[in-house]
Parts: sequence; structure tokens; C-alpha cells
Amino acid sequence: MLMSNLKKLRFLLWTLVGMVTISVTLLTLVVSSDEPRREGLVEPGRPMAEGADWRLLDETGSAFTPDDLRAKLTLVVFGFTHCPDVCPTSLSYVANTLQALGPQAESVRPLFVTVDPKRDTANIMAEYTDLFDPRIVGVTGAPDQVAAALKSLGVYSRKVPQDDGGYTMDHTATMLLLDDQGRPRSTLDIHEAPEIAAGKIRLLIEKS
Amino acid sequence: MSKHSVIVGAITLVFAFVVSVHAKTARVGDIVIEQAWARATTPSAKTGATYLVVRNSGSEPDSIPSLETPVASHTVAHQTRQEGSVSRMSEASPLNVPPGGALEMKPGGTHIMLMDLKSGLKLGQQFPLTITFEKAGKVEVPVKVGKPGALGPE
Repeated sequence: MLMSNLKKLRFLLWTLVGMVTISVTLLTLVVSSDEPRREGLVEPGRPMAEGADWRLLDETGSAFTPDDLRAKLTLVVFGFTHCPDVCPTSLSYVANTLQALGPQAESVRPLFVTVDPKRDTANIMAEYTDLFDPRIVGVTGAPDQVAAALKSLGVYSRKVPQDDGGYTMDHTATMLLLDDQGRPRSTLDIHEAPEIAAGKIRLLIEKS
Repeated sequence: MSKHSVIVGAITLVFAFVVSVHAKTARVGDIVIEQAWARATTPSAKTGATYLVVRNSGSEPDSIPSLETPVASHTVAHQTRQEGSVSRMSEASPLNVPPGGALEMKPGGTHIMLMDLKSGLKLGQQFPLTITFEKAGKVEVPVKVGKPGALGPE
């Protein structure tokens, strides 16, 4: 009687060990098969802002048009300088990614495009982006031109009035990676290590 | 006393000193505020963000109806929410501190928004922040300014 109970217990324990082994193996497979997809690129679709004719200004006051999205790989972040929480987090992530890229950072142009052109002049954009990395280029422009550009880039933004009479902006916070033809190929995620972002950019540099 | 225990004692003392200097905590009633920090801004910036951790060791919930600092005209608790790819910010007053729990602020979540900054916040600068708790009362905490893109206290 005692023996058979022990046998039962042994059987149960081994079953448990077997189940744990299978689950761990499956989990490892799932995680490892997920890895290349996370770092990977999507197939090129249509170039962004195709056929659009907006004209913005970069932080030096020079013109910035849809053609400028097709000169080089572009990493673009949307935001505004009165944003103290999300935008500094994104821009410092971009700065860390540039750092992780080392000399290869020269192959990508990091842009910070404002969704708040009324307050963000070219000078303010230059000063703000330089806080994080002087290589990040601020882009602003006349409000109607910025609105046209955001629309053609599929970016949402909305002014939200605040109690003190001021306002804040709801906006798309995606960090987009475009190839040298202005086609979206990947997005960056601040929850990933900057090395992962650098890996995505390197992959795109190799393919270009 | 063995050589070994002297070394251990010395390390413990140094560690305790580093910890006490590093974690600037303030206390009022059952409330402890730790790790208040802000991000450096441009000299002309009008807004800034401050983050801190509030612990409530009491058995009653408390809340923060008001915040004040001499570096800004308005100081309001805000909450960032990520809805799909869109980031939204809204007022989060009054902030609640659960009994036996903590209110942890961090980038991308709850933060204290400094509005109408009188001048930009400089790296290494320190400024006072007065927090009024509904039950525990008022307390002033020093806020240390870190890097513009800091993700936590340095």
C-alpha cells in the first residue's frame, strides 16, 4: 500500500518535471523566435509624404520639404518643446541610440518635428534639441504648412486647453525610422534598450 | 576585533553615509518623500517636470491637493497616458497616497508639471518644492535637477 502511494507520488513528480521542461522549452522557442522580428524591418511600402508639397523650416531656418525625407535614412520624432515628460524621454532615447551607433550615426538624420509651430520657433527648436544631442535637427514652420506635413505623415495632434489659460498637445509619439526613399521601415520603442534601436538602424544601413 | 570585522564595519559606515547623502528624504507625519528630482531645461523653457516618491506608512489614505515652488508660477500634478501611438497629458489632482502604499512618479506616468518657469532649470541646481497633504500637512522638499533626458534620480 505504502509502496504504491510512493509510486504514485513519483509518477506525479516526474509528470510535473516533464511539464515544466516542456513549458520552458516552448517559452524559450517563443522568445527566441520573437527576437529577430523585434529588431527587424518591415517591407517597404509607399514613401511617406508622397506627392505632398509642404514647405517647413529646419532649426537653422533653411527649407525642409518632402524631398529632404529622401536624401538619407531618417529617424523622426514628433512632439513640442513645452512637453516636459514624454518628449525629453523620446529625445534622450534618440541621443542614446546615436551614441550606441558610434560613427554609423552619420548615416541617419534624426529629426524632431514640432506639433506646436505657434510656440516652437526655429531658434527654440534648435536650443531644445541641442539639450539632448546637437545632431538632432528641429523642424518647424508656418502653422498651415506644419499641419499639411503632419497630415501627410499620418501624425495626429490636438490642442488641449488647460485651466491656467495655457494649452498642451496630444500627439502621436511614435518614433519612425524611414529609409533613404522616405519609406517607413521600423519604429523605435523607448522600452527597448538603445542598442536594439541601433541594431534596427544598422540593419537598414546595410540594406540601403 | 578581527581585521575582517573592521573592514566590514568601515564598508557599512561608508555605505550608510553614501545612502544618507544620496537619498534626500523629508518626513511629515506618516508620510516620507524621497528622491525628488527634476530635468534640466533650456534657459528659456516655460515648462519643466519633477518626479518623486511618496510613502504613506499610516493606516489612512492621504492626498496632495496643492503643490508650490518659487521657480514656477503654477505647479500641477499631471498624468501622461499612452493610447495606442498617441500620448496625452491631463491634470491628475488631487494625487492620492494609499495607506501602507506609495505614490511613485516617473517619466511617462505621473509627474509634477512646473508651468511658467521663471528661468530655466540648470543641471545640478536645487530648488524647494512645498507639498501640502490633506491630512499630514505641509512639507518642503529639496528637488535636485538632473540631466535633460534623465529617467531617474542621479
